[in-house]
Amino acid sequence: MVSYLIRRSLSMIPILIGISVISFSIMYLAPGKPAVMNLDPTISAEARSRQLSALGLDDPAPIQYIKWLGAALKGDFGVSYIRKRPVSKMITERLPATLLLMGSSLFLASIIAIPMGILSAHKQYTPLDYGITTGSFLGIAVPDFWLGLMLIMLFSVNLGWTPVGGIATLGGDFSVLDRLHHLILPTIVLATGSMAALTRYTRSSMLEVLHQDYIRTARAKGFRESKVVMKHGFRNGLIPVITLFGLLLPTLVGGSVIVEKLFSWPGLGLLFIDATFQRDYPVIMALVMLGAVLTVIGNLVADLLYAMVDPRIEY
Amino acid sequence: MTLLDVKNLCTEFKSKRGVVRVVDDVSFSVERGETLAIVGESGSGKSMTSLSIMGLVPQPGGRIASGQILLEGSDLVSAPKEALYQIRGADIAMVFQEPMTSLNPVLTIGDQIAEVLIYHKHLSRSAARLESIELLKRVGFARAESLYDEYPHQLSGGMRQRVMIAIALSCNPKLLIADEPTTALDVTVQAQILDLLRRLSADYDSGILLITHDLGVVAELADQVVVMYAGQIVEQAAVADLFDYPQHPYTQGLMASVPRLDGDVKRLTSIAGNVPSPDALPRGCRFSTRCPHAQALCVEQAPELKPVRSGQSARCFLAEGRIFKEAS
Repeated sequence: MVSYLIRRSLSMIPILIGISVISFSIMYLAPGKPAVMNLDPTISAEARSRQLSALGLDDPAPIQYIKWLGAALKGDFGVSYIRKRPVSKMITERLPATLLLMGSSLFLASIIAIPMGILSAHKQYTPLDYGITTGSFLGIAVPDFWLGLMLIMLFSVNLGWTPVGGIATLGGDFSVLDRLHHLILPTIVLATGSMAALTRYTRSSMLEVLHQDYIRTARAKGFRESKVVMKHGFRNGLIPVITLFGLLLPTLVGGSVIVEKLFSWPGLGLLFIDATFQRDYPVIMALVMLGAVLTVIGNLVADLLYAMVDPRIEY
Repeated sequence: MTLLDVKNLCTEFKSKRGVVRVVDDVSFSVERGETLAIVGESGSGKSMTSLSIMGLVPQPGGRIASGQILLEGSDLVSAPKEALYQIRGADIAMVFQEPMTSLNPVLTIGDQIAEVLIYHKHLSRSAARLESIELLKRVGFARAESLYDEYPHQLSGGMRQRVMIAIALSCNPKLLIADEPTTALDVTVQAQILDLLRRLSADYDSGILLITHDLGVVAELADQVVVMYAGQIVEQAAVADLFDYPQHPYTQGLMASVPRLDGDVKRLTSIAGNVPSPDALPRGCRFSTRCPHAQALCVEQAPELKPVRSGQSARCFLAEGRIFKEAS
């Protein structure tokens, strides 16, 4: 187990270096240099090259990359070209808001989707199953921005139950209730899509399990259906669903551009999209690497969870 | 009182092409301490008969259409669902054909035995553990304690089947249904399992309903034999009579397809063709399409199960004496 962890951790290094090289290259090749986009167009050529060399942008690309890598390894992701602030600070400021939103939506999606998936599988081809299936497809098909706008119109504008956007009441003191109040709508919108996918996934996984011979054995023991499904079915059906959770981990931090924009939620998704449009290289690289690290860790966590749930897997 | 009395059991399935009857008017009985074997090819309805007795006809689609299944006089078909939860696993237990997949891969061996004891006998976890280890010893495991915490994938097929038998025996069932318990196992392991079943039925005085297509197993274990074909019983007899005087051409065919070590037969005989699908049965005798002695009457009329010798019935005009073998 320990040696497996060490091996997996070591194998992350080349993967992460590869990701950083590729994303750095793509960014470098993309049209629209930050120097051209963001510097004052009226300054002299001499002043411009002075500024470029101050940012390190006149070095050849490989040198730029190595300088970036060296600093990043020490935890220094540089200073934003646009906002002139340390990137790590910008990220840590916004990370809690994104974690809160994504975490709560994933939580909401799971507690609804997994039971629905199980129910749908257990009552296959009944009106309940068809209802859940139809609901899932609706959830997948409805775009976030439309659902968000409709909910805002209904609950915020017409009924006045929820705030239109933001993370806290302006000028108010922090309170948990106030935060939850602001969290409701964006969480629901974000959860809808993943809830639908998760329901379908759980359903198909449980369907496969419920046709296994050991389920028949459990029934032959005289157990009630609830015990058959939950004790003997669920743990087996959960195994494939765990993969999905491992893959969802990076999205926890990636945030959602659309929902964050729609609800003016000050998260990383907004930061990322702004940085991309402004060619703010240090911010983009830091966020890409954050996503990469979490993806790799997510996969590792999923593999470790497998071993916990399924005794046939050993490391 | 008769332990198990199955009367005119009919089990049906709804399919796209309509309702098909997979078990058709089947009656037999099993006494305590007695082993009754149901023999037949795949598709003859023998497994569905056993699942009907367990109340585990696959859902949705399957149902017991009519008939009675009396366990010590009380009918299981009309019994409320609640009562069946108490009976299954306790009074009637079942050992399945596929030991490799019949145990839950994510639960320990011990857990899968102990849960039955906790559920039916209301034992505490620690008492259930002790009793489970005792059961594992009884089915022949020397290192029962360490086995308790192992998982099914660490065991061979024969070992898993013995665990299944330990689970089935955990509540001293009155009736043990064994659905092809040795089919998936090596020959040497088969002998061990048969030996185990025979010893246990004697120890517990349980009735055994043995589903098999292996006549060797029948000869080894059974007292009474029911031969099924296309959902119906075609012959019913004590084991010695069946082997010595098989009456139905199908039974005779089955006997002839068993390889013999003593004879000088060069080729194995086989019964040509397949069991007809339950939605495309012949009009007359269901075996007429494959029967070497079939005549006009067999194609037109369906024979009934009638006593032909003492303690032996067959569903055949030939055995009844209504037709005679044509000189060949």
